[in-house]
Amino acid sequence: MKQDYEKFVVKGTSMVVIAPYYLEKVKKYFSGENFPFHGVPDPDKKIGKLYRQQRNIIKLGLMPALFVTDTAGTIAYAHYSANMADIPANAVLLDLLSSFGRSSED
Amino acid sequence: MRHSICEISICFQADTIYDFGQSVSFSVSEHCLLIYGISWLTDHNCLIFRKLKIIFPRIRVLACFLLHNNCKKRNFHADRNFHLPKQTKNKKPDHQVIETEITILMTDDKKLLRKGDAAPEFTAAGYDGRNIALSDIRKDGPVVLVFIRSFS
Repeated sequence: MKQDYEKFVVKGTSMVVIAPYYLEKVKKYFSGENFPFHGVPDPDKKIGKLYRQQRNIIKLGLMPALFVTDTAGTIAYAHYSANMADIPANAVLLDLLSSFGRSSED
Repeated sequence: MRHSICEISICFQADTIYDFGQSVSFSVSEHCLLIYGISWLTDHNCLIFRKLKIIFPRIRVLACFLLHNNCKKRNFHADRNFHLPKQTKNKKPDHQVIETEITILMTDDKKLLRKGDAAPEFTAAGYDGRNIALSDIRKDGPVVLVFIRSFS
């Protein structure tokens, strides 16, 4: 997603990364990487809980999740990862974001 | 419908199709059922998972193989088709070197957010000190929210 960030930006998309860490760790990572996303520390997992982020007891942690919301605040895409490699392809998301553009032009 | 630990436990105890063999035990917690001590994923065990999946369609089954001999850890998501990994087919490994853990995660689908639901509103301070409110940033266009587990 980092590599395709420019494609996402062209589509007028804001990207928010919610990390279950304290500010210092998130700040260190985002500053070091010159990360173009919004980075939000969520150490007490309040936002994660709002979005029902799943927890895997065996892996001792939260499982990744991804959502796309439209400008009206409706979820247009929701994905709860079943494992660490289960991440939606950028192409899928870019297609979805393109469809927003098409529907607004119609 | 959410299947309780109790329901699954009863199934395991009452039905012989859930006979994983000797020295297999399982533990339960609120969200998952961990079956451990399975020395190998046989066709018979895969059949059990398929039947389990039919009875409890909302459970997700994850398998984790810990190969002690070379310290490699291999995961596969068994939920989709329960196919055996290629390396395991028609091959009987040494029971001493392989330990398999099967994790059955019980997810209450009704509680998950879906397409068409209202995105829960939040306001939070970003790492750079700026306040980020979903209601503000979505005015400019779609928003992708990425919940990560770790930085990579």
